[in-house]
Amino acid sequence: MEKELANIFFSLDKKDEKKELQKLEKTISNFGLSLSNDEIKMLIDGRKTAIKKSGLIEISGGVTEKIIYSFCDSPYILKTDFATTIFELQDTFYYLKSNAKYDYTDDELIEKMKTAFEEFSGLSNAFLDFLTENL
Amino acid sequence: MDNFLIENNSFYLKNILLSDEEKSTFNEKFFALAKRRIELFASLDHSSIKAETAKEIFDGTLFVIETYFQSNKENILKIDFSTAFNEGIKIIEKKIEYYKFLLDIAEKSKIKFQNYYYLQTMKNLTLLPNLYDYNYFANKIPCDIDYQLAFSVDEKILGIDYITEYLKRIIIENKIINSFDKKTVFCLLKKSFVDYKNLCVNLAYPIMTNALGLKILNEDIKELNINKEKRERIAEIINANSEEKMKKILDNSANELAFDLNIFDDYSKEYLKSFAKNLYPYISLSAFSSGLGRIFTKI
Repeated sequence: MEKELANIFFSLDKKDEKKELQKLEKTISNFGLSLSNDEIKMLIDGRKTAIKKSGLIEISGGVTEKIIYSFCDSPYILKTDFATTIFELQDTFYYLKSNAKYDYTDDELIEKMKTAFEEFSGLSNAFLDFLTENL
Repeated sequence: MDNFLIENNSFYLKNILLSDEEKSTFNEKFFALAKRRIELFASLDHSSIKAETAKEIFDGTLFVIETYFQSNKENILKIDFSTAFNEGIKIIEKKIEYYKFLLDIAEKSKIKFQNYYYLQTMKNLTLLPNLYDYNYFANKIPCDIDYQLAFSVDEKILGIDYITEYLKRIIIENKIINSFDKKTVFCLLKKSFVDYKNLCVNLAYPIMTNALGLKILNEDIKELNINKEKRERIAEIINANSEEKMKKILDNSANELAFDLNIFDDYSKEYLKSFAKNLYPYISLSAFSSGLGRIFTKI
């Protein structure tokens, strides 16, 4: 039954996700960052997999853009692994969305992730453990 | 997916919908409505929600829609489902008002015997009107109902319908327990259960059973006592009659019991009759094998 519901929502017309991510190009370039077409595809596919894996149903898009906006100014984001870091953060976001004790809004969750990201100097096991244990 | 809802989800719809056209129209309109309800629940703050939450909203929406169509079947092919949903909500709000009316009766007739589960459940029932989120989870009961009834409500019945049914039965059981001398009931409860105060047991059960047994024997129900001699006489009656005849005897006894207890409304009489009918397999088996000592209690 949950599968049926997921299909209903996944079949909805959504904005062109690729175009939405490409629109961020100017913003992230201010921080010396960029996303290739392959990396954009990786993020889109990764998001879908993360949603499925976390037992969630997507109502609307926009999370990847929000994560990029929120994290692109961090000193712990490296140009060389920008896309993989966003990929990991996306995964973490959906994991927490599904498992957090409190029902955080998307913005609240991203804000908490950003704070922890800065405190733990980027992605690490400690970063994930801290969020898992404290949310 | 045409008959998906009807075949897998709906308790009521099976009795409401008739033609394939109706089923198909229903599914199409319903999925669109459920999608809107889930989106509304998520609002702008959540781009995703747990699949199980979505499923609960889906079921809650179905309950509201069914509530509307139970009395408006003729509108299935005509009405916009958002309107049907809003009308269903109005019906549920009326049901909540009726529930409050029943709750008041239940509170006033509350029995004087202390049983943890009874007291806790009665307390929880008073919280329900404030906790019941019928806009999204109308099929749910938002509080624990642990106290067992002598004759349980069908678990296919959901939400406010279940809880109203439960309350009606509690009121009948309160009335039955309160109809007897407190000291006599106390002695029967002490004999029936090791610790009636703390066990999850139905307090009306031994009273209804013994009273029914006494009615089978045409004896005075007030004493609530069924000793060995009376049990043997009941066993003789059971063994001497066919199943059909015995069920008839039980039915008549339940009817007479209702009269003795000043129970005159059809619903309450039917409850006693259902209880009596439900008792038949137990008493017939015990009469043949171990005796009726486990069913009818000696004070």
